[in-house]
Amino acid sequence: MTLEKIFAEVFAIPESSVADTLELRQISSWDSMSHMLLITRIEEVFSVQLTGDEIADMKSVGDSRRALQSHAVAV
Amino acid sequence: MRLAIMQPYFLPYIGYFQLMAAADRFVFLDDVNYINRGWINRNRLRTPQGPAWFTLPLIGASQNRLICELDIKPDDGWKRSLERTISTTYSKAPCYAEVFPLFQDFLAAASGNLAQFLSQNLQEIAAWLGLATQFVPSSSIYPKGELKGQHRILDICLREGADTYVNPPGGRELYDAPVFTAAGLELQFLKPELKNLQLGSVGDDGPVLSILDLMMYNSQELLRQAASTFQVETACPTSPLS
Repeated sequence: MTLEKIFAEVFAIPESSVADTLELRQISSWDSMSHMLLITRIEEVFSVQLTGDEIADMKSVGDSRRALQSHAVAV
Repeated sequence: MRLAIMQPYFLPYIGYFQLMAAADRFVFLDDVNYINRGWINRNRLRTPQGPAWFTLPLIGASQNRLICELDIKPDDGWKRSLERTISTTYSKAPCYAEVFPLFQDFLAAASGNLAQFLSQNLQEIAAWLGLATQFVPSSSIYPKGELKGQHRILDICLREGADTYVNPPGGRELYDAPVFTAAGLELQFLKPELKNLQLGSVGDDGPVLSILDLMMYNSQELLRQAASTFQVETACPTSPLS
């Protein structure tokens, strides 16, 4: 499971539209539930525990990738 | 009193119920816009081919309408079709015999106003999970006027007499802890604890499928434990989170 697949699955968007520049606010299906699922799914798939600050800073796909890389996850 | 506020959803994943469990009172935020292709009236179940969506059909669903303005489509055969999908998918699951009749009851009640149905349905599942949370069935009892975002949330918290607001883990950038502190409220964020749950038969998609999937594969007792297994983090009261 890749980060792109997780975004595509949670927000029901084409995987091809998932790029690092994509911001959560730009996704029409973004709401409390999808955001909650995104974090849960990222933590589960990559076996990480994101900190509050990391979650707060996750405003785009690229932010999510950087958060994972800071946990030594190659994405 | 700890308050949580969130839109109502159809058979959401267990994290939603953990948010309920983290609060003394829970308000269904139903006077906000419906989201197309979101999770309000649909969720996912497992199939041999991977996760598949199941949907509660609506009349005239649009992002320009509030959740509380929408109605469920009258039964033209969709209930029988959905019932068959669930039956086919889960007939060999260990808790099917106990849970499928519950699902049939949910389906039988699925008519009329969407928000009213979801609110009632979610309260029934919360009771099944043994949650002691009190519920405010609709946020529309607190007219929002021009209030949006965290200002609407703050207004509901103050009208409810809350001293703590518990938010889902996402959306931290939308909430400014000092604003809550100034209003006499502590801002907390839920941290669902799903990784260490010893849930039965969780496939590659883990426990983020619909609660219905977990109910089919796990005992009520285990899910009661799971619904109450989470952490909450308090936002720093002196500086914004973002």
